[in-house]
Amino acid sequence: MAFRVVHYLNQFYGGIGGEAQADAPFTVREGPVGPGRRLEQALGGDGRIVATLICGDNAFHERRDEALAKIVAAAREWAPDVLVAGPAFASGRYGLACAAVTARVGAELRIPALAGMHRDNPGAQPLDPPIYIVPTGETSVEMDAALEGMARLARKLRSGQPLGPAAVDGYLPRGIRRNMRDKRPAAARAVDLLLGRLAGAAVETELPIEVRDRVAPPPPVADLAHATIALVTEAGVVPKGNPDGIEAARATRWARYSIEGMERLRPGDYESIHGGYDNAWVNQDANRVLPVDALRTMERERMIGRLHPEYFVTCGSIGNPTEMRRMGREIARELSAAGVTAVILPAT
Amino acid sequence: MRLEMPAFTVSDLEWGSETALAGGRLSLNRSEVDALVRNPEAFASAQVDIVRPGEPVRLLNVIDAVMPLVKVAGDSCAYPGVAGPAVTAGSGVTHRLDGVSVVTCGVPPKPPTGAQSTKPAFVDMFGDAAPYCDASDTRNVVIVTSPVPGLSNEDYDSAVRDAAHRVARRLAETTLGLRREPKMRRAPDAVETFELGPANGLPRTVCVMQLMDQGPLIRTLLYGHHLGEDFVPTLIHPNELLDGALVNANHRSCLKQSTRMHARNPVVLELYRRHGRDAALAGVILTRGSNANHFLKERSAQYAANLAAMLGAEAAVVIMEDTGNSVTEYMFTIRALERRGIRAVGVAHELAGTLGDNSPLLDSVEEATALISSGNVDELFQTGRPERLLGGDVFRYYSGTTADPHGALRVSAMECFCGLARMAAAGFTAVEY
Repeated sequence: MAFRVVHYLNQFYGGIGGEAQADAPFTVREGPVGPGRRLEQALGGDGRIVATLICGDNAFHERRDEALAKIVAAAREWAPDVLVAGPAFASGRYGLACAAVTARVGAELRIPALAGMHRDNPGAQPLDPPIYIVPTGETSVEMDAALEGMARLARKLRSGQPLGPAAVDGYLPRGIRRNMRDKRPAAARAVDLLLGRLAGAAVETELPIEVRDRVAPPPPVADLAHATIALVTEAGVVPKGNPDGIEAARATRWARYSIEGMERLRPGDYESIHGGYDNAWVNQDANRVLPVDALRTMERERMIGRLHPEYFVTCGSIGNPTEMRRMGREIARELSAAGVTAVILPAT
Repeated sequence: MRLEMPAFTVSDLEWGSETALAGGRLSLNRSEVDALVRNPEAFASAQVDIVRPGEPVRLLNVIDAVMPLVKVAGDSCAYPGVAGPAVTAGSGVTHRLDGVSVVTCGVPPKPPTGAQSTKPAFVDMFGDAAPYCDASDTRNVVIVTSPVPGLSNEDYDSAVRDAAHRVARRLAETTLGLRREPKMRRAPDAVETFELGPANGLPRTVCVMQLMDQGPLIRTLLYGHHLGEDFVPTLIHPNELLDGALVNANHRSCLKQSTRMHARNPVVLELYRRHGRDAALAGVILTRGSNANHFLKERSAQYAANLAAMLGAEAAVVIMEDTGNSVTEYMFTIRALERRGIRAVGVAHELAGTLGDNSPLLDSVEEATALISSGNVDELFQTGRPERLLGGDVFRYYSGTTADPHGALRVSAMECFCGLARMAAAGFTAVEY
């Protein structure tokens, strides 16, 4: 029996009208509409479009939560096995809507879901958790190829077989990397890549580099004498025994510890669990990396307003940027909520 | 510089009445080997075993794997500076035993902690972990030792290395005379000749090799002496490496290359194969990772790039041992080369997390546009269940937690002997899902 597909389209592909109709409210049509007919052909009898959900692009984005709730409810009524959204090609608002519908319907109905759009569409930005997006051309001139690809992936997802790599099974990379074994060792591939570059061939890296966040230094603290200063560190300085079990390398945890009323970190009470620097000096006296003693002096001398009563710590050894970014955000949230003005970040 | 290396393939390794090589069968006289290992001033115990690929054996606390080499003609010796004087090697004739390694196992008397901590590693001779472990594909003479009370870490490390090299040399000596004998018991299975002959008009290419040398027990020896914290990138002829100019003295065992891997570096061999055909190998530049700060990392990168430029290189393959902050000067080196107009391709391991959804690189530069991935070293896999253990009775993960070594374990390359370098050699890569 053919599997049941619910298809999401915007007002234009849903046959309501162009940009002038972008406010068109959410509607449901039974069976395929517009590109849905060709999508059904591409499914070749394996799948059947039972309903088409249509929403104007403006209507979707202006009341996104409401639109998504209606879309999820309508989809649920048609009991689909698979949800397909688009293709949106390079159209930004439509692409973002397709991505949101794919993510939400897939998660709430627990069914395979996929969208189609150009890889530069803002809707193709990685989501957490990731969704499946079939790469398409920039315009509807590429409609047939786009629908073929989407039908192929829909069938594969529906089959329950594990998907192959993005490049093999025709979807955009979702930020997940898995190992495989090439027939040729790294050395042979490296020399080929190098000679290819010298010959001017268009060569492809096996490991695209990320563009790193550039952190612009903030302006100086205007009124230090009234500022609350917090200590945050990746130096792995924790109360002896590491009560929160922060990992010595590849950390995923951070913790905070009270320094309220302490004139200094008492030698013997703290240790560094960091596996990447010579921490003998810090184990002797943790104030060397976490200068509570100096900040108390500055507090007394009214150079700073006060030292925040807790310090925040993780361990930076072989720290993964993704985890560090997350922990940084989490700690920053706590600091903002506590009204901290500025942070000293002793590094190692 | 011309180096001839006849290779004798060992297809069978067993105990026998005499130490000899005949028809691919290497037999060892046990008491002779025991005598070579014996060192009562250093070892409280010493045991020698033979293991073969496919046997359900797990080796724990593996320190090194040495390929048996012996210098037959020419100056110097194999493993110069370690097994003989530090005389420039790389020319003449060196016999090589292929398919056999001398493997050492043991735990230093006082394993250091913190930044200088050692990391034990295992070798499974069988099952799914084998491709991630160096020396899993050779027949091995395994030497397990324990230190006498009061011995220093450094003295234990030297004693283990000396024992390995004494045995390796003896094994390689079984090839001597074979070629000249009238009833030749065994001719070499292959004779490789290494000479950088004319390669005019082909792109001059260097290999830039970043080594790990962080302090006591985390060392790489160049002609018998560690690189040291003040190491400045230097130049070496590939033949010197083939003769064993680099020797492993590093107990952070997943992140390094073993002595046998240094002597058969895949990139050096690949560039040699291409030499005169589609590339011209201009030399090998050795650099050190783990430089203490940004300034020293950039200084090292600049120095390496300048050496490459002075060699007239237009291309470089850049490889590294280690991970962590060493990725930074590795990337700086790629950037410095590219900015000198030298096209650089790197071989990089990924640290993408157990699920592969984390940033794969700890650091990167915009210029690193051509990287070969040797796979995600965090990805977990299941080992087999060994029937026999050698070298210890505790399985230690990179993180420091322990497990029953008799079990089928979930591990990553971070627990495997030379796991990172081995993944590159075994063809691992990571692809997007």
